[in-house]
Order: sequence, then structure tokens, then C-alpha cells
Amino acid sequence: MAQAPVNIVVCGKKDVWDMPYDTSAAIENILLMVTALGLGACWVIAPCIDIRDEERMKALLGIPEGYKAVSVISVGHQTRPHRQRPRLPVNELVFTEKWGEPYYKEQA
Amino acid sequence: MNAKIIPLDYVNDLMFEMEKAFWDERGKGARFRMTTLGREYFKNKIQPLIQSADIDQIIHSIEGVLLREGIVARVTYSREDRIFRLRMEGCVHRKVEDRLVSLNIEPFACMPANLIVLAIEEQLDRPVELAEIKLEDGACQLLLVLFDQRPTLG
Repeated sequence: MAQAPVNIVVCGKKDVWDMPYDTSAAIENILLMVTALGLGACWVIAPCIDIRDEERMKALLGIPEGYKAVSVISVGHQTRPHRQRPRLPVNELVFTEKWGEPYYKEQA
Repeated sequence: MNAKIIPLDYVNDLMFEMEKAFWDERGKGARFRMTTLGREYFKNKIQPLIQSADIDQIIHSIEGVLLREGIVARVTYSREDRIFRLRMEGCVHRKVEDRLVSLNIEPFACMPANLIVLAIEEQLDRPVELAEIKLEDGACQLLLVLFDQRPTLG
């Protein structure tokens, strides 16, 4: 993170109903755009894991009380190609009508 | 440790810190994640005493427990159709709300109000929402809205 040319700190306003989810959707859009521009990014979740990290970040950047520092997106030029992450079989992930009833009867 | 000698400031300070932490995580959305706060107390202390499906009787039963246990000093309420206005005086948790307000955070959880909501939902199977918590000098004004039926999926 310290070496990244750009670090985007995503903050959410607390005075809204769905702040963590709104900001997570925004982060996903940021990641998609970064990728579309041919750059690389890393979603750094430390501030939303340990409150002490968030407090330090808010103090460092002067983020006001009414906002949550959700995550940092480190943006830069990729140093290695993206590695495919392990995937669960889709018939273990998508259900119909009830949890555990596979939508896809055969492994896709 | 004897439950009767746990200092109230200790309890309220912990409640404040936990509510504040929850607010910091969820913002305004914390409100609807606290609607079941008090459920265990309701099951253990309130539910066995409720014999009637009459709303006035339900509230009267809850009022009796809250007063007997010293959680609030006085409860008054009025009802206009589906709107309930409750005034709770001398609540032991008032300090929690005052500290939230001092940080410009609107109070978003009320255990005594939740007991009424839980009781009506349990006894009448009708949804109830705590719409507003207003702080006055020494009392909280609560606005509850009673709905006729639950929304259904399809």
C-alpha cells in the first residue's frame, strides 16, 4: 500500500440506511474501472476489520465523525498477472426456492 | 457477583460504547438491527405474564414489570387508531441516549419500547414500528405505529 502511486480511501456517510453496502458497491465499481483502464488494484480491508485501524486512518486524514472510513483501494501498475482464485462449484452456490436445493442440477 | 450491585454507570457506559460502535459500523441502518434488543428479557420476564390479546392489557403488563424492576419510574401512553404515544419517565438507560445526542446521534434503540413491539407482534401477529424517540427533560417520548398485517412475498 505504501508503494502504490494512488490510494483511494472510500468513506461512507453514517446518516444513511445502507452505508456499508452502498460503499461496497461503489468499491466494486472502482475496481472494475481500474481494471478497465489496464491498471491493478487491491481492496485493503483493514479499516473495516479492526476499529483501531479505522481510528488511526480517520485521525491521519482528518475524516469527520459523521463518516466511516470503510476501505482503501490501492491503485497502481500490475507487477504480475492476475491469478484465478479457487471457485466453488456453481451448483453449491445457486439455489432455487429453498437453501440447499441446487438451481443447477449438474456441476456447470 | 450479585446482579443487584452492578453499578448502573458501568452498565450504561458499556451500552453506550456498544451502541456507538454499532452506529459507527452501520450508521442510520443500526436502528433496524436493534429492534429485537430485549428479546431475552421479554421471553423470560414479560411473555409468561401476558394473558390477553388486548393491546391495553399487554402494555399494562409490560408497564408493571418495568416499574417493579425499576427500569422506568412512570409510563403513560395514549392511542389514536394505529398511533401509540408513550412517555417513559425516569428510564435507567437515559444516560445512554443523552451521550448519543451529545455526539449528534439520534437515539435509535429503546429496550422498553422493544418489549411492547415484541409483545404485540407475538400476541397479535401484527407488525409494529418504533418510529421516533424524542428526549425531553427526564422523559422519553416514543412514537409507535401499528400495522394491520405483514407484507407477504407474492
